Amino acid sequence: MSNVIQFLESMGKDASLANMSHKEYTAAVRSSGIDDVAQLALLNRDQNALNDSIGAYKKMMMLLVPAEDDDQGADKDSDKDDDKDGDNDQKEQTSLN
Amino acid sequence: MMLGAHMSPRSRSHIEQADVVFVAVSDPVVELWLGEMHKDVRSLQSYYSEGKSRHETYREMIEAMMTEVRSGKRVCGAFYGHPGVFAFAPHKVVEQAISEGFAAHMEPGISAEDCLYADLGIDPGRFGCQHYEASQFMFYQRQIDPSAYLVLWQVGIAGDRSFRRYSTESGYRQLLIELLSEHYPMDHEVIVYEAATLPISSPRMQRIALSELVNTALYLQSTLVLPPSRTMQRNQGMLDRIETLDRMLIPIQP
Repeated sequence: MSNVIQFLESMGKDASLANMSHKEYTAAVRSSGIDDVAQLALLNRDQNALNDSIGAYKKMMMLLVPAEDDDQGADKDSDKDDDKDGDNDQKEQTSLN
Repeated sequence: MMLGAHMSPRSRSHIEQADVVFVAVSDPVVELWLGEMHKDVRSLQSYYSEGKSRHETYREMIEAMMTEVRSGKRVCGAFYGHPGVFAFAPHKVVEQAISEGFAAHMEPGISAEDCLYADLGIDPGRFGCQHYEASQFMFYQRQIDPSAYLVLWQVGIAGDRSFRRYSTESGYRQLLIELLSEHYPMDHEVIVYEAATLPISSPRMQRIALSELVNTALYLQSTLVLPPSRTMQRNQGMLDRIETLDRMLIPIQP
């Protein structure tokens, strides 16, 4: 696994490596010392196969901002039963941060 | 955003010098990369769960970090892109730490927005650029300027009011399209954008007509970019007033 990360880090850091021709890239992967399964994933530029080969998560959660603050009537499913007068829709906007 | 490419030396030193590092990134390989930089890296992924309110997730993330801060540890939170751009928990935890008397600082990073400008060849200064969280854009009345760029983030969950879902159905997307059609024609070219997170990958830059958005695959990392649909309209009244001021203040060269 570390070889894969190291290889990717080198590619990320070095602009010349990031712009390799297909032939150069193939040669770099083949000489990297990485195992065959991960090599194939790299050669195919297949992120899912690469994740599988190194035991990474299959799915990442990445939503970091809510559309509304919690006190603005978010979690509407839990509010529905209480919202007899529709008052929960009349909340004032506050800043996210 | 991209493994190896976009982490600043200073950000890296924050990670390496911390006692504990909390991580929320968008790519599993990036998380493994961070795991190799420090002996105590804790993923914040476990706090997400479909069906669980993301407000609760963010509270738990903040509390997890603050617990370590209060125990006297030097804590680093590593979030993908820029930790303060479209990210709630990082700002809150800095605010919370400072309010409790601890020193806290946010280090800027290269965000997905920055990658978007570079990949799509957009200069936000050329026509202006408006950014909204997609659902917030639907929930509130916004005054948009269709002569500037419009960027809608987290469009994959557009319309979700529960904060518990990780995708929304085409009906919600249709509502978004109807809202956008007030300012953009249905054949207006829009771009579905996703930044590349590994150096072996390319960004997604899918150009479609606005009407096609309803059937286009959207994911958690998808962003919708709407280029201007009309040219900028001159503000002649203001221009005339500026000209008057220029004549008064700018000396005429002999």
